[in-house]
Amino acid sequence: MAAGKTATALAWAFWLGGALPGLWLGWRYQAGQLGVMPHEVLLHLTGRFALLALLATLALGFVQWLVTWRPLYGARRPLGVWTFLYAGAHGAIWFWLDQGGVLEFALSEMREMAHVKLGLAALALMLPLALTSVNAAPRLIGRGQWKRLHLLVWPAAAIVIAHVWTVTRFESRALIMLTGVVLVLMATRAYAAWRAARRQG
Amino acid sequence: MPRLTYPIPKASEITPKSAFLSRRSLMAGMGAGLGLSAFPALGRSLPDFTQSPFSTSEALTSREVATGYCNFFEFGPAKDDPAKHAHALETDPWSVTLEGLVDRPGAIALEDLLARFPLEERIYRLRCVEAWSMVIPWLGFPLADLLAYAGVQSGARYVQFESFDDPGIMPPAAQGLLDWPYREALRLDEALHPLTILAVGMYGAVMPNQNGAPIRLVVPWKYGFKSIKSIRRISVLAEQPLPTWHAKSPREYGFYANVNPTVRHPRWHQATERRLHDGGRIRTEMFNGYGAQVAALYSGMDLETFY
Repeated sequence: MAAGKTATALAWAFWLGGALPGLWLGWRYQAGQLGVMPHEVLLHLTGRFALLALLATLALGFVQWLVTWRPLYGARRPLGVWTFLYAGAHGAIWFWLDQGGVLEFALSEMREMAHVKLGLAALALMLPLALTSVNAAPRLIGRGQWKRLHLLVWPAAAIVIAHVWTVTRFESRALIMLTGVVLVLMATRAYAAWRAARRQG
Repeated sequence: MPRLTYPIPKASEITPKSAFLSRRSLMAGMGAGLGLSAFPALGRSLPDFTQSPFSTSEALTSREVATGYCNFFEFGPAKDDPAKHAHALETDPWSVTLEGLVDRPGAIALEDLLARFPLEERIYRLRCVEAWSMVIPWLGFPLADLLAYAGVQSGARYVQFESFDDPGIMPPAAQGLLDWPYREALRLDEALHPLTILAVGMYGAVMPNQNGAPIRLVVPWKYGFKSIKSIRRISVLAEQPLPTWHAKSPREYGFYANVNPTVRHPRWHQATERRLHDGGRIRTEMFNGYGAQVAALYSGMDLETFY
């Protein structure tokens, strides 16, 4: 019971904490403190927040695998939902501010530019995950189905990494490290799944 | 909508001295009108200048944006890096070395250039390969004037430009970013075209360091990376040289790099551009709208192949 309470408290902390980067960014934007090209800063930082939230979401399973501390599962839903919200904001800012809200321009970029295709594909993969993040979802579609569905976060992560590589002009150590971290997380997740399957089978 | 802010410290506590001094000199320039006089804060003065018929009447990008949003990778990869770090470049004294197939090789001091070649204000569109654009009032003189003075010899077909070479003043983020010093090049007929200028100022004042002080190239129908900054060396050559970006990624950055909305780029959609002063997106024009003046340079060339 105490563990349940800790998990709830942790979940609330992550729901509220996840809003902070957005609030900070919104405040700086309305105060005119985002430099000479504020729209570009909004675009880049929402993307970066989504990326960090995604990394944190993926890392949660890894941390549990290393040191099982059950209440930490409370952080999973808020981190996942914040990932989607920041990614959605990133996409909306791209359409309204970067493309000027002109559908013809946006469609033309969607047809031709790899980074736009990758970004939208990742967002599309995350949409069903966000929609099924309500309590009723696992019961409605079945616990096993729900778990399988949420494995989509891994292809989404791979696409996000490809998206980041396509928008990066200078190869950086940070980008290589980011890619390495995601690969390690993927490998440990696959290994854990393989071990679990062997134990059962 | 009113803006909410925290209590903000006095301006004198947050504005670097160099920033308010350059603002003052800008205001002094406005007061002086066309007859621009001394800018002691910037250590150099510019002679009078005339207006050019090549200027566009489009709305200007603000000086704040044009000097705060720069690609000058010697001073770092972020758009605000040049404004933060370019002060490390010592621009006075400065000379440009002419070499190669010219009758008068050797170094020529910036003062001599300014004394010899009358300045014009040219308001040009600037289109970056990153799909943004500005409208900037440059102060400069035709590169053709300098080449005429240098005496281009027969057999010359290309002109190569080299930027300053001093890794010691570059911030860590710029070290090794590209193969320094930065090099760019034009075909001789492009270099001699009346639209091609060497600029020594903008917005009626001396060129700010982050925009390529004290002297830079401006080629308005080509993507911005062709317009090399802080030029130290100009070489007139027989063979086509290898510009820095073209050497790094030939698929992305062609030798010609003419603004062309129909030639695709893997990284940025070239059909449209963000006009940075209003944030709106507009269609990109062939040759950045200078087709009437420059299209003849490329008649018979496949611009998809020679992008």
